[in-house]
Amino acid sequence: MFKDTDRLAYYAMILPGLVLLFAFTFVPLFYSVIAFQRFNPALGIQGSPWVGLDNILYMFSLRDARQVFFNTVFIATMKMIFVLLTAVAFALLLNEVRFLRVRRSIQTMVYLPHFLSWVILAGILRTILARDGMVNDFLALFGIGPIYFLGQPNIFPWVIIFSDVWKEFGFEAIVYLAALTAIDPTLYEVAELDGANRFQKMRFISIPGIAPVIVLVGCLSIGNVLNAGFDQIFNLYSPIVYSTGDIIDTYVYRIGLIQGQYSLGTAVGLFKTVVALLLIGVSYWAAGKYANYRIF
Amino acid sequence: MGDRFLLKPMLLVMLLGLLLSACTGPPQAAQPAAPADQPTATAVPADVLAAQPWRLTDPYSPLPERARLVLVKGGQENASLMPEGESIEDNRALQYIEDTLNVDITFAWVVPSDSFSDKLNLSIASGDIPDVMIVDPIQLQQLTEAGAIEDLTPYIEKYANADILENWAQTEGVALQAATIDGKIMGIPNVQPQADAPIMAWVRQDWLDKLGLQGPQTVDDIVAIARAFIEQDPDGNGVNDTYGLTGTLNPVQVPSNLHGFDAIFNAYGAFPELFYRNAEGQIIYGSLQPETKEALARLAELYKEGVIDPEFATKNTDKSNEIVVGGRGGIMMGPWWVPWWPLADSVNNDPNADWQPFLIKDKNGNYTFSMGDYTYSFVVVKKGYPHPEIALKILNVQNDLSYGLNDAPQYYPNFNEIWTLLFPIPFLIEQPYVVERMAREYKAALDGELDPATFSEAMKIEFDQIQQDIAAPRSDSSNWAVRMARLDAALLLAGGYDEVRTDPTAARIVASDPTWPALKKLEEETFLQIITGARSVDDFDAFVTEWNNSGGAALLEKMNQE
Repeated sequence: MFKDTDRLAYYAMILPGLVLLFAFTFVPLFYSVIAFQRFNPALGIQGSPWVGLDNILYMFSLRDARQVFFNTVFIATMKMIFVLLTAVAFALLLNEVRFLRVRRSIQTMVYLPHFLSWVILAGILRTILARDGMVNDFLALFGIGPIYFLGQPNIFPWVIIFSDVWKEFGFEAIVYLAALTAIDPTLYEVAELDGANRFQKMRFISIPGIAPVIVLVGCLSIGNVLNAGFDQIFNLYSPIVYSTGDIIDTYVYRIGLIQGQYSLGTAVGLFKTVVALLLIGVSYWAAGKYANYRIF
Repeated sequence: MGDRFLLKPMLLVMLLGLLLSACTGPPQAAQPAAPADQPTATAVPADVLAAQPWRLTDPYSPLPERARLVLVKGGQENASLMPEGESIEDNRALQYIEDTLNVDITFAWVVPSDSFSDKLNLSIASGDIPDVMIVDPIQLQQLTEAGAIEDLTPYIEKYANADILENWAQTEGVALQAATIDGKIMGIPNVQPQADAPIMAWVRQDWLDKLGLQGPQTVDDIVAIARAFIEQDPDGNGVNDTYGLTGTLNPVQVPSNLHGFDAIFNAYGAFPELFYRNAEGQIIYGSLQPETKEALARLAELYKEGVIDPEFATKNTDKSNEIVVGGRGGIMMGPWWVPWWPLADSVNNDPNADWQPFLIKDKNGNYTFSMGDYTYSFVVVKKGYPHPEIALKILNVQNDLSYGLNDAPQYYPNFNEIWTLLFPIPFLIEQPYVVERMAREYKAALDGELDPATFSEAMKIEFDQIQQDIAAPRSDSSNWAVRMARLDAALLLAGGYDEVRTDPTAARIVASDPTWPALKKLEEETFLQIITGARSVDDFDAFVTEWNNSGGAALLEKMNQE
């Protein structure tokens, strides 16, 4: 299809991305060996003594490790489900808006938060979720609260989940909006002739039309079940919500970098990598089976 | 890149060191001959040298040839506090040190405080360590195992000045012992002024007066005042916007816990986070004792009632400082030095803010406080650096600059706020009880029992500030801070109190124990949850069991066997 020179240009364009991927994702994998050492940074990898599976076994004996693993899976799964549902619902609703200008401006507004970093958003969230913040003022009108959103272990994960949904659903919806425009408009015309109303058209044409995309996105996100969002949680959590808010990434950061237990931190990180690899396998298999999606 | 040029001399020195230490007995013999008797090309003119004979003694002798010293530094975020035209890399204090010792100090990097330890860990891991650096006990152990730092045993006695040696001696040998690994002194230990540990209640006297209240003496008094401050609109703005007791996400942290509840625990006879010996001589852990449970129960009650800031558990120090600086809080728990930070800002904002310190009595009417370790950090010298003694010499000069000794110039009126930025090695080897001693001397001078002319330069300046504030209270927040901290608060401490401190052996075992981070996390989380009511007070017993089963019992056993 392409001329060879074109092809070269395309490869050149993905090269910077590949270099970064290699440097920050593949190279660090080799350093996972320190999970099997009593690592001393001053001695380096070559000099540190080997301890076999000690760190891995110790990790499994830790109450923390189980809790952190559960928190990670719970928060990440809930995020996936709610982002997906919200994005699909939003795309379907927006698709019904007939004024193009209104549609465009709404779309722009909802995906704007996607481009803000969590450092900034966490500052904003801390303010509006404070005791004398906007949200509590609003709830007070109904006689509720005040609620300590960032300091209650049973509420904190939901704050994390829904603030992530708020940040990301607009951007996710783009995929579904694109899928909706790909549906043959004659189907809607035919349905109208048969007397279908808007809800019936949505139910029998739009949703089945984008179903393969929903399944595909759902399957591919299985690989992310262990990524609960370091930036977000790191900027919002505190010791009081460790029991429900501490995830693998924040745990590794504290144990490894703050407390200097490099080997234990790496062991936990390595465990995450291994499980993530299995999950990506599952997700690829599921995407192939249910959405007919293949890379090779 | 520069390393390649240093490699040869480094190897040579290492070899020499090996040879010498292999064939000589006493450690002194391994030292290079001191250049004390021949002042060579230094920045100090000959007449100055003649007038100030201390400059030629071992602890201060300039290097024979101008040498380079590469350091690293945190604190960049506060650089704006520096006087006009000065910076971390270039200031008069640094210049004085360089000239006195004939050394060129450069910084490989300068970063904000909160990323300092990450960055230093990275430097250590990549083998690119600075010539001299400050490390914690874990890093000291790791660097020693790796043979990456110099054995300082031969230098300590010879190059530390008399003041510093005396300060170490006053810790009953704990300081140097903490720096000793396999019989060798691998780092220069700090000595923390003990005054930093006791947490006192700082209360706004103007608010007390307005509501007709007395200063607090007990926990009950504090609670009563906090209630009054919340309910009775002490700032008189007609809005119900004042806080009672502030707090942070660290309810306990020894020493120097701003907005900490440490003093309340102490008043209940509880000493959380300390491993101390009980009456039977056994090492026990304070956080597990029934007194701690009692204190937690009281705090939980106060939280429920709204006396404690309802959001303290997610606030860091800065957030809670905003409350007192912004005039919305009239009680701040903190050490003796909080007038400098953050209370000086409160006085800047509102000259009526008359903060006064009060010590809290325990149930038996005594003052007993959790004390910090004498030593928790160390200055180490990179293996192969040709003049390991320079670290000690810099610390000598810094000590002189701090206290105006040995003709050291006093450049900065706000020295106490910026010393960590000025000094190339921001590290203190203090007299353990220097704060109390100075307070007694200031008091004696005010009472006319001591002639202020006998004070050191630094003390003269502070005494002058104290007098200025007495003449016109709170007209200048720097003067006020010196008076409140150095005189009023320090005198309270000088009045005497009982101490409970972590056993030095226990401290060393904890520092390298792999189960400790998990135990600490369990404790932090549980305490906050109990105070905020997320868990009931009776869950404390479950916490003790879990702590013991998660490796804590084994840890205590290990401590008691050594």
